[in-house]
Amino acid sequence: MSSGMRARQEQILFTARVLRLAILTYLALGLILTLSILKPLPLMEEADPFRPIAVEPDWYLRAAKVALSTLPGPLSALAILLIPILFLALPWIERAGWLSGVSSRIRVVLAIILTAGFMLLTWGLGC
Amino acid sequence: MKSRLERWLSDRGIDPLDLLGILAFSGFVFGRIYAWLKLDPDGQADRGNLSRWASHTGGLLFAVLMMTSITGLLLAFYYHPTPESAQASLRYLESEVTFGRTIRQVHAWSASLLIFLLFFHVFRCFIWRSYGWPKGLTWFFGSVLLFLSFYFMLTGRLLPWDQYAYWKTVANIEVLWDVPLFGSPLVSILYGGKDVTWLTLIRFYSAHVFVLPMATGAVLFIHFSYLRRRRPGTAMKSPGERDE
Repeated sequence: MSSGMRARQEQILFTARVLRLAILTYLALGLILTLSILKPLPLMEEADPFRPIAVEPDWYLRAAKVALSTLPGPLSALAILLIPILFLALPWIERAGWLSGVSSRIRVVLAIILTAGFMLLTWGLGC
Repeated sequence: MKSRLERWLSDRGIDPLDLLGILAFSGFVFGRIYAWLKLDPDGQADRGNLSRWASHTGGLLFAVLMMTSITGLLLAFYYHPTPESAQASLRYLESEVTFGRTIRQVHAWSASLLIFLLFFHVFRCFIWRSYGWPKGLTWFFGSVLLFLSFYFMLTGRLLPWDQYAYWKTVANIEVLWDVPLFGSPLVSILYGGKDVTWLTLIRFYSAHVFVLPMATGAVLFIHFSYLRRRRPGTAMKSPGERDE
């Protein structure tokens, strides 16, 4: 393929990518606007520290809450500390070759299991 | 109480539900234009190649982040971070300011969508093995952005200073406080103590409006810098595209 044709193809691919992103952005903005109108988040009465109401923690902390209530103390601390560290250190773990034998299929299954586990802890088991 | 946008729509006989139809129809029209311009030479999108679309989660995240930032900036013009006037300033914004209610709602919903998209982006990057070198540092700084986003959500939660916001924050603090060994130091650093008072509100406001945006901007800049340092021509391409 000549360099001119290659440049032309690159240009088409780039335009296609920009347009795809524009379509997705448009849909996201439309979704946000629709939700803002159909499901507005109301303001309740002013905060009163002496009149508690029953609320659960935010959804992204519920998994941690379930883990804390089910695992014994030091183990739960270890799990909660270990997950972010593993998350941050993933490139170095990969570089060390510990994941070299893990195929892409196993990776997909692992990602799905982790996500499903998080969702189960968050919404499935309750707090 | 209806927002100005709702009133504007109802004055023209448009039900808010129609927006979904408009959204779907215009999405369809965009899709047709996309196909008509033959911008997808291999017709992969028409065959439902999801990976091409999934490769845009990062760009989409940035677009939603921009929307959250702009609406947040507009909210900051009116918000007053004291327990006596925080809620009053929001009520004023909703009732007196043009599109004030819509701006607040868009800020809240776009923040929620941002977290959802962040999860999706992480999921996609994990599956595509985007954490291996030379993209390792992109992953690392992206993870830092994920944790900063959670802190954004935690601090933004309290700012409306209504019953729900207050007790939700108390519930969040209790979860972190219960973490053995490092729970209480973490809460002291993030919240300034276990009790939620006016000091907490000020601290959260400062973090949400000054500290976190600056930190996020800096980390985002590094994240993008490492993206650009990758092999030329591979940016924004899915594994399928790279194989071609």
